[in-house]
Amino acid sequence: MAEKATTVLIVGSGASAGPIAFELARAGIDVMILEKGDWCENHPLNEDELAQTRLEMYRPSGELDPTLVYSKGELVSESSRIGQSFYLVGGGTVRYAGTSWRFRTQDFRKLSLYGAVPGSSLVDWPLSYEELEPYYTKAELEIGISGNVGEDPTEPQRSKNVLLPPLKGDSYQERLMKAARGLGWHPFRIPLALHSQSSKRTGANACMLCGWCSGYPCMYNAKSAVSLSLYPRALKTGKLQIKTRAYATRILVDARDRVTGVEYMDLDTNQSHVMQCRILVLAASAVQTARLLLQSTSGRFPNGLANSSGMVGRNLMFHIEAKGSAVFDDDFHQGYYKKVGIHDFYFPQSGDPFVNHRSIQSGSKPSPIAFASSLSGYGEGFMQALRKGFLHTQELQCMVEDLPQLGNRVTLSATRRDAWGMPAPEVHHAYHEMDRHALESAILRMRQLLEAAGGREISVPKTASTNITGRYTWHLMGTARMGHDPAESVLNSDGMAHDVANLWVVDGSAFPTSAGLNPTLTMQAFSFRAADRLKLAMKEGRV
Amino acid sequence: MTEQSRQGWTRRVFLRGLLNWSLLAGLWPLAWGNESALAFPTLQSPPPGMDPEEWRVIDLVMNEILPGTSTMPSATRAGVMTYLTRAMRNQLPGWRLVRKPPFVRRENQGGGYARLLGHYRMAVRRLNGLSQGSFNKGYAALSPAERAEITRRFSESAKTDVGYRIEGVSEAARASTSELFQLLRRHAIEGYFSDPRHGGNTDFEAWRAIGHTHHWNYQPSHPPHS
Repeated sequence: MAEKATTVLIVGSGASAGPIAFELARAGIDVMILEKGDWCENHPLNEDELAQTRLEMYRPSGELDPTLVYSKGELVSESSRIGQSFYLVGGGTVRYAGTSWRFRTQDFRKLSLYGAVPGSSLVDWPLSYEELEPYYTKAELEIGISGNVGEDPTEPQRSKNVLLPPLKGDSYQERLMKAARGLGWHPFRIPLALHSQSSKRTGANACMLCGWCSGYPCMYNAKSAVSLSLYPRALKTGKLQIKTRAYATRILVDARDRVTGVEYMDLDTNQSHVMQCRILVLAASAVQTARLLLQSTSGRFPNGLANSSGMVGRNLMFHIEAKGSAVFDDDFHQGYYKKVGIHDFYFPQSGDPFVNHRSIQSGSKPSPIAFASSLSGYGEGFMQALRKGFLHTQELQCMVEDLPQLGNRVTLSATRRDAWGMPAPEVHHAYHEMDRHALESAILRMRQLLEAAGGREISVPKTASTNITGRYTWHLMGTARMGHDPAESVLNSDGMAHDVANLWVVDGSAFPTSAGLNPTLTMQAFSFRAADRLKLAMKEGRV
Repeated sequence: MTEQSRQGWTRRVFLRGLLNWSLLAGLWPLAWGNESALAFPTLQSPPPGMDPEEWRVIDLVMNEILPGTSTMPSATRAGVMTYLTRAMRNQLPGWRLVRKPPFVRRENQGGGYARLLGHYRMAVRRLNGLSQGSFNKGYAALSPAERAEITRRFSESAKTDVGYRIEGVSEAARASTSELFQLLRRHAIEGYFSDPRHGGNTDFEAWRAIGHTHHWNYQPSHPPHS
């Protein structure tokens, strides 16, 4: 059943949907978002550890809506939630820790810097940091990022400092920074999508420093989720509509292979509908965007829409991460998650057997269930460890670039379907040998910092964990990579599909490489840029 | 004293007496030094599909996992069994509020672990089987030292699993003993450290014991924003 058409239809409402929806609506263009989830309720359980981390409010059922995960060819999970982080308007930004970096200039030119890597489909981005820079500034301003300029030794140049002041630190931050400086390193405060002060622009409140950010909706409307920072202002224009509980199942094309609309299921009624559009933007994250494209076959695109290159679904990237913890003499209470960063080893050092970029970031003290679960054993010794360790345990984390590989990909299951009859996505992934070496190197640096900071009973992984298990559901990139050559990429540098002029992709699918940094701000900058490019294309009649 | 206030006073005396007698009745098991049998006001009852003897075994093993110490409450005192009572009936609060269809099947709208009943029963059978094999009596009848030994073996049995097979239990039958122990431990931790709204962490005692203040007790250096 056809419905009223819209000009621009966006699938997904997360980090990268927000900027383009915001910009287009403010430009007077009709925009409709289809979101599988719902608005986040302002609910007391939003700060409940059991409800959020074990009962997993706001997350889909892995049994009814599964992603199958294959690690080096072996099925490791039949009901993972990879690629389906949260069924919420605002997506992962409602519950993330808010780490918001600009990629380094070098992250955009990996092939030029390091040369070809056997086994990896390493490439340069088709756009430079300098081309994206104005949009990083725009994202920081409109979304609300707190931090400081000039502390991070690898930080790229910026045209303007629009950051809110950095958040107030605590004793763990001070301890880490002092220890790092003692090692001759250059610690810095991590830029965060948390408002250090209230903002008339975004409508957010000042952060209460309660520490319940990562994995929880913010109880105080201080986290810069796009559902707070962008959608309310966009909705006020009267040009944006957000249709919730709408599951996009297929992209429709005409005889000229132009997108005409999206078939979606109303999850309240289980009825299918069609939303017609002039332009389609996909922002559903790298697994779901690839899945939707692969499901949408046609005469010209038997292997999935816009897939003449064969690259849709390929080059899937995560990040590799490891956590370390230590016990200190101080008492620590809950604090916001990412306080201190170390980038002295972001780039490979001379002689390193890898080209991966890496970041070391502070974690935070775990909350009670997580802490108890991290310890082994039971009985009286376990109880003593709980009491002795809880207030004194803190964490560090390292994040390593996942080199792209053609064989790491999203496909459609031939046998398994979700509760609505659509083929379940399959994720196939194996880390590159360089990924492992890079992680092991980063783990050694983590241990070094924890020791220098006075940590005891230091716990870090002995070796890099072998492969994904199906529990890592974020930082998804690469499955519709951009590039200059239509034979080897899906999108151009604007985010427009080479094969289909009125199809755009603005989420992490577009990324050719993953950097060693959380990708959200870069996705948002890319989305703001895509909005500008799309407006120009519409004005010039190219779409 | 008016008639109305006399009636109120009489009612209060009656209710207070009833409460006192109830508490005294509940305290009787202390005479046998068995804290886990203490009748706390929220008395736990086995979920459908388990009998009281099986539930008693779960109670005992939970207290082996999380025993009371001079500074930390035991599993029972912390309300772990109350939590489990709700969890095994899919009655954990909040789940029903937000797991709206079609995100979960309608028959599983309640929050919890009723689907793991088979695993719990399998765990009981494995514990009883180990106990019978070593001491010719069930787990609940063991002395504290014997129970400690059997629990240790239960927790380590991934290496020496004797492979008990119980007809009629499908998925649970494939679970190793170590996996079953980890499941019980996981739920013990949840009951112990989750917010009291879920039935455990009675009076926030577990949180207080480890010094957790939760977000609504701000750090002194970070007063609430006005």
